[in-house]
Amino acid sequence: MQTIANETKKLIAKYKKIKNFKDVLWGLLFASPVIIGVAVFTFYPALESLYYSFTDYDMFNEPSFRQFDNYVVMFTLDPDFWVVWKNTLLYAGISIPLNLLLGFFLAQAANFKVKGITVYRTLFYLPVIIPSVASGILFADMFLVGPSGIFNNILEAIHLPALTWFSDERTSLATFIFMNVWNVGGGMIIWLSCFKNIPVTLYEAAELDGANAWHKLVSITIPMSTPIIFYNLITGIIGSLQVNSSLIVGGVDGRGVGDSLYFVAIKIYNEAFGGSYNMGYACAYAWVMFLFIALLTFIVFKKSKWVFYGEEG
Amino acid sequence: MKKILSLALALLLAAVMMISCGTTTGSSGNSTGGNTSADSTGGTSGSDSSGGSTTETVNLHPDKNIKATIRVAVENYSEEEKIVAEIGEILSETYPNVTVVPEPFSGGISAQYASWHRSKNVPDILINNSFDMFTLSDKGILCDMTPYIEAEAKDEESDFDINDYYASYFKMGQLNFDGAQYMIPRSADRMVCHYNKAVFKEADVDMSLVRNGWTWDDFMTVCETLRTYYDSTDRKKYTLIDANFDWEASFNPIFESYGVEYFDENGEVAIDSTSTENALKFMKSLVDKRYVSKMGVEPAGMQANHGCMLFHSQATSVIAEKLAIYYPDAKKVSDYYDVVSMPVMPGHEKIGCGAAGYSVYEESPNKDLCWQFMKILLSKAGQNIMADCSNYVPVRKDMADYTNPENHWGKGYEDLNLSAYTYNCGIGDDPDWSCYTTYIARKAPKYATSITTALKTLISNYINGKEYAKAVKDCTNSIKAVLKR
Repeated sequence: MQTIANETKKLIAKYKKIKNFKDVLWGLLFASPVIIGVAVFTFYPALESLYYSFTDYDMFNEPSFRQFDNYVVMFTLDPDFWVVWKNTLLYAGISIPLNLLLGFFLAQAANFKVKGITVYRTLFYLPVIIPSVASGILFADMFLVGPSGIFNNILEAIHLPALTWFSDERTSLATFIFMNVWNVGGGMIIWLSCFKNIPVTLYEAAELDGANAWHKLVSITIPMSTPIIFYNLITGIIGSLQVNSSLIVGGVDGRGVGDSLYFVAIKIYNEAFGGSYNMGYACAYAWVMFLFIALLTFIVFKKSKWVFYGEEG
Repeated sequence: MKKILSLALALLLAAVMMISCGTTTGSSGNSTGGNTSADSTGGTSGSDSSGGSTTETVNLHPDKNIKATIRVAVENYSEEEKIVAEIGEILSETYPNVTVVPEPFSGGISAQYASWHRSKNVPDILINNSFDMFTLSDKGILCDMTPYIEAEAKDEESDFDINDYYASYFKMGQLNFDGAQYMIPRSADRMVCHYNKAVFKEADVDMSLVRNGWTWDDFMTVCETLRTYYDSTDRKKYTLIDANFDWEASFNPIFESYGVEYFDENGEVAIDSTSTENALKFMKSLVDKRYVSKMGVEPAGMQANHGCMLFHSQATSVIAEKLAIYYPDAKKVSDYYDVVSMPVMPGHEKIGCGAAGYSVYEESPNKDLCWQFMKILLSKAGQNIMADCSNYVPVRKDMADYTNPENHWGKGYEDLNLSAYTYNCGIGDDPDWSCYTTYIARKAPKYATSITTALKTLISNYINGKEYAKAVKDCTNSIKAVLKR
């Protein structure tokens, strides 16, 4: 009797294994369009670019293997290297916290229960859906220095001095950062969804305990929003280090006056597609950028104990 | 059902990827019905042009029943497509089974051609220009057309004569500007000074100075008058000239006139010199006097009727049409607009020029037919088609006379000074003041873009206020670093 029971159990276990295996197979099949797509269009090109980064590849002839030459040239000879990294890091260092803070305060404002708030929220978010090329052209006109420049005409109309905007290397990066604030609505929406998920009971309890707005902000809103801060921080790091919208406002080659808007992504584009056909070198730059972003993201993840994921977290 | 659907989707996706990533059929379909690569009628012509040491067997008289489709890459302008289509029509009169298909693309030549090449899908004929031709010349994708030109010279039936064309523009299509013919020039694109004649009249400019061959001194005198006029009217905020100093066709002639040497006889960077400083000072003086805008600042805007001069090779029709809206009551174009040759430095006359044209893909199975396409393009009929579509200046010397009704390029603009486009271009005993980017030929093609970018940055930095020593040092270091790669 015992033997029969054991055999039955074994059979059931085997059946379950097979069923699990079948389930896994079907699951994989369901996901296969995405898996195949990502493998073919993301991982394979990425690995290919890693290979190219060790070669002299001009996109027409077979790549010739050059070991670490591209990396050696980049770190030791290329005068653009420090320029593009300085600009990129400066941009990221200012724009990430700026966009985080502005998104937060805008979301706070959009969270008020006032009449017509949905209209305000839509207006705040509207710039995000405008294509970056269109908004770039728009801003190029607005920040134009000269008789047709819209912002300068406004400043002059109210008897303020005209500014140099993109026409001076000392002001162009600041102008560029200011321009990109235009897209803060994207971050705002995420903040707003987070605020909506904070249980109202927490605020009610705090109010009973005599908490004022500041206490509620630092003791409830911010701690409960840490997953969103974390998310915005990670996406901000990745996005800002890959900034390339100066191609529209940065004049010839998107470098800006005095190379003030020359970012890593612009350098990669110019090397690969700007007429030099240095695809191998561009790939080396891309991999340095990828590794830097990966390292930074890893560090942020490692230092993410401050993120509150609720009870289960 | 979901499982079947999932399976079908996965298979479909895999199939689509296999098809799109798979090898495509080379260029544009093979010719059938005739031997296009070797035929005794055309003979064999060996080319030993410097750098292009190929020996091609060419056929100048392909079988008239040949069947082929010629794909022609053109930038996404309707005029260019029209030129190609109309030349295709003439070609099909002789070769009724040959179809010419324009293949428009947007974006830069470099990215597009690289993409086509990697997918093994390059059109037979590629639109090109002297700068891109140079950077593409060492990639092995352009066919050396020298054997065809040489074979035509030997062919008694041929009506093609290389001497009918401006030598400079053919050189601009050659390897290192003096070797294998990788591009056949389509038009003679020369810098001219477009100007707003109405403003010149209002400002009481001494028009005797504004003539073909005028000097930079004459030009400065005219600018002074115009600046005074602008400042005394409501145009104080505007500069006068769209000088395009960040364009090699604009800055290079000035540099060369001042005797700037980019590299010394040993090939070392030699940009730091008194000549360079003087050339830069001259350009900056135009900015300081508010004749030209700083880099990165709103340009003068001649086409918006703000500024009154433009240095460009653009066809007159384009500029005239843009200005026309500001002069609705004008009886004729010459009431408000005209062109004059670019100012020059006496004794060191240089005028910037470049060539647009077509190249043949090295792997094209239809090279002989492509040459027939080129011949039509270069014929009077072809040049008139080009003029009808876009008003470009013909590359034929015998079509320079724009007042001759047989030459269409000046049609409707006969009362303008269109001879500015061909002034001292090497016709007959005239000197040739053409100046093109020969400096890039001192180094390998892969450095051309980076060297030019470094020069543009030098000009931009100096004009915008950086000290000469710092600006030229940065430029020198930049070029040296590029050359060390």
